[in-house]
Amino acid sequence: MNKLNIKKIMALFVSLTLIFALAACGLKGKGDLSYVKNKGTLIIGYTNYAPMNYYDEDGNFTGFDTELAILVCEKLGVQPEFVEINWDTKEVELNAKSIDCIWNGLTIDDERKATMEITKPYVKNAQVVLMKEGASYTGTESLIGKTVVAEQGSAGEKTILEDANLSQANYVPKTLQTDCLMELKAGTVDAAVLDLTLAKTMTGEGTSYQDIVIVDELAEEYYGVAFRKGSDICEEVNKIFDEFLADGIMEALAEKYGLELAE
Amino acid sequence: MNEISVIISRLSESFLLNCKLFALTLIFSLPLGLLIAFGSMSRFRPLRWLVRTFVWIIRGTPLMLQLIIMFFGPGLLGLSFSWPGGASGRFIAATVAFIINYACYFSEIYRGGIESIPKGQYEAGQVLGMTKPQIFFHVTLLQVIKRIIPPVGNEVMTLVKDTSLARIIANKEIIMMAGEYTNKGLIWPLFATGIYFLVFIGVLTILFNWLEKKLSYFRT
Repeated sequence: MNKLNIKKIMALFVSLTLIFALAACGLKGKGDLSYVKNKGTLIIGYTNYAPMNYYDEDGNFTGFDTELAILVCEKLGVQPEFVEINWDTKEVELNAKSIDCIWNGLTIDDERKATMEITKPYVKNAQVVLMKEGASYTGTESLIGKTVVAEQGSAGEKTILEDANLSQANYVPKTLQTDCLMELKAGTVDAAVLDLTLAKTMTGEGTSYQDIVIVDELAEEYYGVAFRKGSDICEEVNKIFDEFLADGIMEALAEKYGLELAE
Repeated sequence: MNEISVIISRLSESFLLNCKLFALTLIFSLPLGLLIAFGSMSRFRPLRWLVRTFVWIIRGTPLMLQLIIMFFGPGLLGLSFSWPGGASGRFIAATVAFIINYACYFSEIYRGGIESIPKGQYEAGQVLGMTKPQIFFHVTLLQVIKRIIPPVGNEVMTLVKDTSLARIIANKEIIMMAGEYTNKGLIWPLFATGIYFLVFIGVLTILFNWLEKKLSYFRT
């Protein structure tokens, strides 16, 4: 009886190893363009966030990235299909082919460039320091020894860890950027480092965060669209971006949503 | 004022997803759990060993991880199987993961209930010439049901709240919907979701109390 069990365990392990080995070979992005053209749809992963992809007051799906993606798909000759994803698992979605690209104000950095194929920058952004209204702030040195919050793995986190002063603060990572403002409002932290575009929409009139203000602008950064590593769609989209820049289409869109284009 | 009613209606709409997931999970996992319980009590050793290992794996890993593996696994392994596109595929994947997970927990509750019935009753049944299924359905089962109502009730209430885990694979359930407002800088919808769960659990509590009373047969 025991021998039988051991054999079964062995068989299980061998087949599992085989499956993983095969999977590793299958994860190449080559021929992505023809794959997408054959299906006729480009599945675009997004999260609901203004001003990039969101529903307006009348319930219409809109935003800078939404409009831009629709225009690009028209040029590519495929139908756009927007799928709401969980931002924490975006790379998994891409590799599992449940989406074809991440088009949602994705900040370009070297780590992401290593794992995904990212277009050239199309929109400029910055990391900003947010604090409660009336808090004293003269520069990042004011935050030494204070508690600072940012999203885990975000560009904001990187800014904190790389800044000579901010790295001396107590850094608390959160899973969501939006939770950071809640911490700030609840008084559990002294400052938050977030995206400029996000901070602009989340604070001020008509929000729960009217008493939170942007006190400083730190690292500049750029947004790009991410495809599977090695995907040939990326190059195609870059070309379309160039056309749209020459046509002035990009500029008109950026003006409509209050964004700054990358130079 | 108008905005508040819009938010409430959108939250309610998304809570339907939690309710559907809850109902489907119960409908399929309760019977499947019994099947697994029989497997884990089988006298055929390889089967018993296999089923118990499976239960160990499912109970030994976070449901959140199982959801991720269930939905992304086929695509990542490059299998020919894939979930249907759009929101429906995500919901089906979540439902399957929930059914398997809860069936394993239920199976252990069933096993505990069945093994708590004194052996003498089986022997008495055998002496009277009853077959094994006859003994199970006519003697054991009713007593088991009565004994397992409180632990099953516990598990069912956990399930109500666990349904919100489905958002990890982007099922738009109530907490993910509230997150949409948190993204716009509005916090109260997130806390309002608690009311939905509280009311649901309140109804279930009354239901299970009633059921326990109703099933207090064998007592005068």
